[in-house]
Amino acid sequence: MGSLSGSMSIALSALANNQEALDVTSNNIANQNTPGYSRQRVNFSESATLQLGSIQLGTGSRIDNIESVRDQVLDFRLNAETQTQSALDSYLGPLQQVQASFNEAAGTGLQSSISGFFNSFSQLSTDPSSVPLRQSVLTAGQNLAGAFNSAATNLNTLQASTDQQIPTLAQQVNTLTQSVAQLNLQISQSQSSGQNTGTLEDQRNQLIQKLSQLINISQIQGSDGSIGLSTALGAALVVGGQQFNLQVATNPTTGQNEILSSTGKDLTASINGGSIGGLLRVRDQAIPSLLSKLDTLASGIAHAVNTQQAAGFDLNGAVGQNFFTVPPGVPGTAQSISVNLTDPTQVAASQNGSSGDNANALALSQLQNQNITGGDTPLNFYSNTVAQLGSDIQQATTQSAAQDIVVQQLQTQRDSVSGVSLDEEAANLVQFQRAYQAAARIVNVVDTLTQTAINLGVGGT
Amino acid sequence: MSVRFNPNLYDNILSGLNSNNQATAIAQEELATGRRVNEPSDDPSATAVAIGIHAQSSQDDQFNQNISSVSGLLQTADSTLSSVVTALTQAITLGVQAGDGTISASSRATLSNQIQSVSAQVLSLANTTYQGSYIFAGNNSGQPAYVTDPASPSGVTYQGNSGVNSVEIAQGQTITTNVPGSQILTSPSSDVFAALNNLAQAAQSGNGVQAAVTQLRAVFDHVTSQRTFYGSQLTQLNSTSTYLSNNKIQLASQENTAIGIDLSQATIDVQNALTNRSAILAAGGKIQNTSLLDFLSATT
Repeated sequence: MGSLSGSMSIALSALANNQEALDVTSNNIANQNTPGYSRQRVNFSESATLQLGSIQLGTGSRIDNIESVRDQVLDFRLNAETQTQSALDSYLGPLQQVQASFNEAAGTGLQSSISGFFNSFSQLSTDPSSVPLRQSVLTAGQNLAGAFNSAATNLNTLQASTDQQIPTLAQQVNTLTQSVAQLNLQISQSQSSGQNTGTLEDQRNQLIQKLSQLINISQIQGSDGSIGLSTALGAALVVGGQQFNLQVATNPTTGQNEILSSTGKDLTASINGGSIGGLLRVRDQAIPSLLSKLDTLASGIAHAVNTQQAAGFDLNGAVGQNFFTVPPGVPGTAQSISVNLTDPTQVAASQNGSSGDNANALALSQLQNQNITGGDTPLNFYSNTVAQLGSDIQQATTQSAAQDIVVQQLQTQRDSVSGVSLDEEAANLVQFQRAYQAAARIVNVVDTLTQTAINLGVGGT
Repeated sequence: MSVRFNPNLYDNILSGLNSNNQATAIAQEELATGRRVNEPSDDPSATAVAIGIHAQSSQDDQFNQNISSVSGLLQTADSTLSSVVTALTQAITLGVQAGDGTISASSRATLSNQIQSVSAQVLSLANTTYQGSYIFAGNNSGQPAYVTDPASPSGVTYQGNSGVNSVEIAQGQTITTNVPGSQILTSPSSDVFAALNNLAQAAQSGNGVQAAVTQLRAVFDHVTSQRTFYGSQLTQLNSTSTYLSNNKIQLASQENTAIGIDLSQATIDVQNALTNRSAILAAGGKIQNTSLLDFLSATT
């Protein structure tokens, strides 16, 4: 047999439960535009039944838990793809600046200086004893050396500014991993006491996503609700509630920043994701390879011209001196190449020593058609270098565009699982509102019935 | 339960607008610069082609400059030789007069003096300079080709050398720009000054005038035939110059093919991007300005 008080308590619990469900709906709507928020869902279940003889009586409903709706696998994938995307973007940024200084389509790059230099010898060959023409050769040589210097300086400056960003970014990684470790601790404590950890997990996911923009990480879901994080070479960043700092040290040979694990292992060469990965790729691969091409070019031209100078005689009949001053080895040539000659008469235009002989000037101008730089003519070598740079950037741009789409699709997928839909919330709102109203109605009815019961035996009213 | 869709449709609209802005910017940059390729990454192989074309084109400009300097030199040499030929003709005429047995000794002496002054004239022509360089001194062109030298049988000494200069006038094509005086004027078998000297002496003495005139005629033939060198070099310069002009036009058209803009395509691209943008904006303006809430509020 049921009782009025039984009905009353069922109705009261229904009121409380639907009140809570309305809270959750309200919270969902409030957080509709909160980044990283996962919608929450109230899981109702039946309360335990009462067995009265052969009759089972329900005792209302209860709320099992409030659950954040998320797909952890999707979150992990989104983070992994974000690492690649962010690496490509921070790789492309500096390279776009690099290629701006190789603006060959407009004809303002190094090519005009190289051509101008060799053409000045050709011009000199028409009047080898002319001092003004010899002066133009010196000027063209200074232009060429200057063009090499400024191209190398640009690259070195860019390399340095890329390097300067590394410590700040590593610091950001450490701050983020520290917060993740703290959240891990809170989440595992709350979960063991049965509390809802949806909000904390949302926060942690947000942090891990930010971390993914900085560096490549692997995530491992722990049984206690914590997420373990490690980076290149398996170096641990977060294990449960414990955080491991990345360290930054200066490489004694290069003077550049290195990233070390907490145990001192050098990770620099293995970090390939996030903006740190992208910047390291610019600093350690793209710029050095371009610089070494410029060095080969400058060194090849300088040595061939110096050798040809030595084979001729200057206007005063003396054996030609070095045209260019270059360092003993190839590296650093583009940065430091300068013109050694100080006087126009020192250009060795003559081969037989006569002031009017132009044979050596002709030979100097024809060096441009010889394979004097890296087994190729200077201009072929240079145009291959520029084409290589262009195709590297083109490839990275294509990859970046594809990666944007992947990330966007995963984001869409994640939102289709976890995003707040106003339609859905409106439907829930009505549903919970009606249920609340019905439960209130039951309280009202039970109240009337109780009143009737109390008044039983009293004279009719 | 049906499949849930991403409730945040504006994300798609935004990324659509982003890529549309990018397309518009690219098309407009192309139109502004007149080039399809503005950065090496736009088309790496076309950029490499453009570098080669620019280099060739600036080399062609240099070759054209070389041609105009060299043709100045060659024309000076050619017209100088023409004056030498005229002078030699005059000397031959004087020699023929001196060879006439009827004229007096004093007339022969006058003719001999005239022949000597022709010789002086040829000497000064042989020391012609072009931009400060002695053009018949081989490539020892810093000092006069010939100086008077009483000790020498011809009365002059050649100070130049036998060097010749070559100048590049087209890719892989060089041209010789001078003939040394020792080959053109004072070769061992045909020496202008020796012949004039002989003739002057023969006219003075009246002996061997005929032989001296014959010798001078041979010298005259030699100089005339050497002079054709300059004519043929000038002809070659002209034809190379024409070739270079054509080549420059061809290079410009190659450059345009490699990195130039396809004007109609770029215009269509801009138009497409703008149309696309309006479509995205229109779609964005229409979506989701209503939700279930709007309809519920009306009923409760």
